[in-house]
Formats: sequence, C-alpha cells, structure tokens
Amino acid sequence: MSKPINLDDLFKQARQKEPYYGGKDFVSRVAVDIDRRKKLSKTKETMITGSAAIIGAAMTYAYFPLGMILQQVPTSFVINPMTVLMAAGITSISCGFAYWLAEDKSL
Amino acid sequence: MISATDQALIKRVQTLQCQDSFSVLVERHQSDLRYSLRQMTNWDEGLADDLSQETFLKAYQSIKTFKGSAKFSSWLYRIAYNLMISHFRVARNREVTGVEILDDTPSSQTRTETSQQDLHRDLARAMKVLPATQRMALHLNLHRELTHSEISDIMEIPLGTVKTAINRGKITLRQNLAGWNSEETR
Repeated sequence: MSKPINLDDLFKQARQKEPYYGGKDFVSRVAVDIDRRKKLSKTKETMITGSAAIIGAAMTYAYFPLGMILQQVPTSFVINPMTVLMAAGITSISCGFAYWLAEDKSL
Repeated sequence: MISATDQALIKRVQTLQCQDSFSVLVERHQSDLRYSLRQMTNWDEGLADDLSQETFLKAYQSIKTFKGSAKFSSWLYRIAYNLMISHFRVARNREVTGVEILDDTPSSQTRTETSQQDLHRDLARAMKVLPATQRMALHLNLHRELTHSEISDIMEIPLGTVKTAINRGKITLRQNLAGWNSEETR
C-alpha cells in the first residue's frame, strides 16, 4: 500500500521550485493593451458625440419653427409725423443726457 | 520608482494616471499571477497569460476603486478569479467547476521541460478535476499560504465555505495523487 501523500510537503516543494516568468514582454503587452483600450474609448466618445450632434441637427431641422418666425417679421413700416416727432425727441434727450454725462466733472 | 511600495505606486496611478507606475506593479506581480493561473487552468499557458493580461487591464481600469484595505496582490487574485469563472461560463461549461473545458493534455506543448516543471504540471493536472472554487481556495491556501479569512475576502464567499472547499479539495487531491511519486520530480 502506497504512503498517503503529504500535500503540505508537496505544495512546499512546488512553492520552492516555482518558476519566475520574465516580465518585460508581458509588461509591454499590458501597456500596449491599455493604450489600445484608451484609444478605443476616445474613438467611442467621438463617435457618440458626433452621432448626438447629427441627431440634434436633424431634429432641429425637422422641428424648428423657422417658417413661423419668418412670417412674424414685418415686411413694411408706416411712418407718420407723430413717429418722426417721437424719434426726434428720444434722440435729442439721449444726446443731451450723453453731453451732460461727458461734461459733468463730478463723474 | 522601482523601490516604491505598492501603496505609493497605486496612489500615483490613482491621482496622476501614471502608466509607468502601473507597469512597475505589473512587473512586480505578474509572475505570481501567471503561475497561479497556470495552476488554475491545467497549465494552459496561453489561457493563463490571456487571463493575467485581462486581470491587469481590469485592475488599471478600476484602480480608483481600490481602497487599500487589502493587499494589491489579493485584489488582483479577486479580479483574476472572477475573470476565470466568467471565462468558464462563457465557454458554456454546464457547471461552474470548469472541469469539462479543461482538456486532459494541457495546451499543445511538448513535455520537453525539466522534471521541476513536471511537478507543477502534475499538480495542475491533479487539480483540474476539482471545482473552480476548491481549486482556487486550495491553491491560495497551500501554495500562496493565505489565511482562510484572506481567501474568503478574495473569493467573496463565507469563511465556512472556504474551509469546506479546502477540506474537500484536499481529500480529492490526495486521491488523485495517490501513487504519484514526488521523488521523481527531484
């Protein structure tokens, strides 16, 4: 009958003889992989932003009430004497106020 | 930077996203992890290295979540274990054990290595019949000499389950290794 195996001894032996794997190639592979994923995520981000912009532009083009706004822009003006007097009055008051501001030394 | 502690390097990666610091961490821990994953995958070197690479990638991506309450190596083992379980699931393994997808002849390598390597391969081969939980718990306990509590944290399973997994694993492993002569490997 064979002697029962001592697992503690066996694993101790394995631990002592554990090979060391050189890390240079492995480390550079991991670094390249990290860079690749980073680039991938930037591309993904650009694609998402671009797609959102296109969808936004399409929706704006489809639903923006451009015609209604253009219709509300007046196509003709009616000027009567009262309007001219009012415009002249407002201009005179503005000019007078500006002159007073410029001349007032306390300011 | 080479002599900096893990904590200092992790801090640099977390705050400055310093990839060089992370490379030092990879260099420092890669050999242990690659060996452990070889043991977990019936010495499938390709699969073990792929899983190791993915582990470090995940670690880099989620390093901000590392609080430092556990050792960095323990955190890596946790990621690696989860990736290994996912891999077995994706491989459409019916059980979580991972037994079915592990081929009896590990990878496509020829056995031209020294007898020293045979010990590791034989161990890996003997462990392949164990469910993944037992395999990992046994390896962490007997090879990496981690406490039950540390293993419980890494594998995110209750302490009692860890103890049961290790005890059952030992029984099965002893049966599998019965008749195996450790003197042959010396």
